[in-house]
Amino acid sequence: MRELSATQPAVRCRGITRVYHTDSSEVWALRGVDLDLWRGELTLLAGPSGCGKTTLLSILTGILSPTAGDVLALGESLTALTDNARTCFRRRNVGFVFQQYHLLPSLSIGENVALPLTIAGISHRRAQAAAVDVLRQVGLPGVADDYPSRLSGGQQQRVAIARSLVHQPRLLVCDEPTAALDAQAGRQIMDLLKQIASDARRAVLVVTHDPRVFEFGDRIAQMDDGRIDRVEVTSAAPALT
Amino acid sequence: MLRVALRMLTSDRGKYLGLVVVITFACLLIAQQASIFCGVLRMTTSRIRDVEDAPIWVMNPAVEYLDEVKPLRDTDLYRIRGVTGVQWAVRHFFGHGRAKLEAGSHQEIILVGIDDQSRVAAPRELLLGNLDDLSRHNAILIDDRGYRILWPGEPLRTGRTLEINNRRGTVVGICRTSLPFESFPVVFMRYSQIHNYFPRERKLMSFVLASGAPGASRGEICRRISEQTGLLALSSREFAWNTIYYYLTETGIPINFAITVLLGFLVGTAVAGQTFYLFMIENLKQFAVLKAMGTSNRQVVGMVLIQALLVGLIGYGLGVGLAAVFGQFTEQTAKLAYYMPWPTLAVTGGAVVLIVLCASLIGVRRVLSIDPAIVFKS
Repeated sequence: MRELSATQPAVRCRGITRVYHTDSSEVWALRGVDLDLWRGELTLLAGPSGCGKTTLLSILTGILSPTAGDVLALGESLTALTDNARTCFRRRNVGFVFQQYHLLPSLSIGENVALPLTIAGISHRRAQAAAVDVLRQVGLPGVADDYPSRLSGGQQQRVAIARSLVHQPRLLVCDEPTAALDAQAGRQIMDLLKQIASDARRAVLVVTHDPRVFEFGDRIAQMDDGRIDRVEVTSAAPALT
Repeated sequence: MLRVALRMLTSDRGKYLGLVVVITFACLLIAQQASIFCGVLRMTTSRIRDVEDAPIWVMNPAVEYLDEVKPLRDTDLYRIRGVTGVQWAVRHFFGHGRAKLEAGSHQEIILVGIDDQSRVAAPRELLLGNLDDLSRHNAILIDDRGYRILWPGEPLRTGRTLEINNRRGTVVGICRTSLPFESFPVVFMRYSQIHNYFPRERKLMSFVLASGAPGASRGEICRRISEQTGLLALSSREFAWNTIYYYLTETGIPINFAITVLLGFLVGTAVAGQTFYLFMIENLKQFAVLKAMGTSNRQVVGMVLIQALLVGLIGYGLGVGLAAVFGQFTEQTAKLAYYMPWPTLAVTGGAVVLIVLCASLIGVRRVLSIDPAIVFKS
C-alpha cells in the first residue's frame, strides 16, 4: 500500500455512476459523484432514503463496481482491481460498522471483534489478545467471553466498532451507526467515532440521515437523487482542507 | 475460519442435529443394505468357505457356481490323482435331497457326502456327537439350524432318525455350519452312503477336492489338472469368486439391493441438501458480513465444506456404528446374513462424501452469489 502525502485524500472518487438494469428499465443510483475523504476527518454522508448513499458506500469500499468513474482509495484505483484484489483491499484497509451491528451470535464478543484478524489468517491467540485490547479502548473491558445477545444495543454497536478497528484499517465506514440506538447511546457512539477519526492515519465515513449527528462531522456531504448536492466543511475540520 | 465455520454450524442446534440425523439415517440405510448384500453373496459361498482342508476344487468345466452341480465320472478322480504335484484328491458330493418329517410333510435338505477315510470337508465344529460315529451304518450329521427346522422347539439330541429320499438315516452328531444361501438343513454323510440315497443315479461325484504337494504352487497345480484332465480346477478362493460373480451377474439380487442403497442415497441427498440450504439461507447475512469484511470466496467455500464435512463425518460414524450394532443384533437373533467388510464402509463413506458435497454445492452457490452489499440494508 502506497503512503499518501498529507495533501492527498484517503479516498478520491470522480464521476462515479452506477446504473442498475432491470428487465424493462434502468435505474440510475449514482449520477457522476465526486467525493474526497480525508485522513483525520469524520465525513458524514447524509441524504434521504434511496438517494444512493448505500450504493456509494459499497463502491467506495470495493464491494460494488461503478458503471463509470474511478475510485482512488489509499493510493489504489479500485476500479482497476480484480474482485479478489478488492476483497483483499477490504480485508486489509477497511473497517465496517453496520446499522444492525451484524455481530455473529454464535461467536463470543472477543471472537466477533477478532473476526477481521481471523479472516486475515492471524492466529486465534493473537487475534483474541488484540480483540481484548480494542474492547478496552471502546469502553468494554471484561466482556470478551460473553455473547452479543447479553449486551444492550449501544454496547453491541461499540463491539461492532471494536471489530471495525481491530485490524487497524485506514478507512472506516459506518452505515447509519446510530439508527438503531436511542438518543443517548447514539451520542456516545458518535463521540467514540469522532475520537477514532482524530487518528491522523484514518479516514472515517459515516452514512446517516439523522440530523442530530451532523454536529460530529468535519465535513457533511449532502446527497440527493444520486448526486452530491454540496459538501459543507464545519468549523472543526482540519486545516489542510 | 475453521472455528468460525464450526461455531456457526453448531449454534443452530436444530438444523445441526437435523443434518446429522439425516446423514446418519442415509448412512445406516446404505451401510446396512450393503452389508446384507455382502452377507447374502457370502452365503452363496458358505460351503466352499467351510471346506478349509481342501484348497483345490475340481469340477466339470461347465460349472459356473457352487450349486450348479454337473457330476464327474468316478474315473476322473484317478486321473486327477495322477497329475504331477497333486498330493491327494478325494470325492465330494454336494446336492439336494428330500427329508420326510414325522408329521408327514417334506423338507428340502442339502446333502454333503464326505470322503470315507480322510473325512476331508467334514464340519469343523460339532455341538453333539463324534465325527467317528459317521462310520456307523446310515449315520448322518445335521447342522443345528437344520435340526431346529426339522424338529422345532426340541432340544438337540442324537439318535433321532430322519427319512431322506425314502431311506432312513440316524443322527449321530449335530454340527455348526456357515449359513447356506438356501436356508435348508445341511446333512453330512460318508460319500459311500450317498449311493443309498440316490440309487438310480449313475454319476454322483459333484466335485473332487484336492491338495498340492507342500511347496507346490496352487495356481500351477490347478493349471496342470485342467490341462491334463480337461476338468476345471480352481482354488477355493477362485471358486468362491466365480460363484459370487454368477449371482452378481445372473440374478436380480444386486439390482434389488442397489435400488435400496440408491434410495438411501437420494433421500439422504435431498433432505440433507434441503436442510443445508435452509441453514445457508438463514446464515446468509452472516456470510455477507464476512464477505464484506474481506472473506474471499475460497474461504467461504472452505467454511461451507468444513461444515458439510463435519456433519458428514459425525453422521457417517453414527450411521455405520448403528449399522454394525444392527448387524450384530440381527445376526444373533434373526440369523440374518450380515457381513460388513471394509468395502461397505468405503462405499458408505463415498456416498456420504457425495451427499455432503451435493448438499453443500447448493448452499455454496447461494452463498457465493450473495451480494455483500446487503449488509448495508437494515
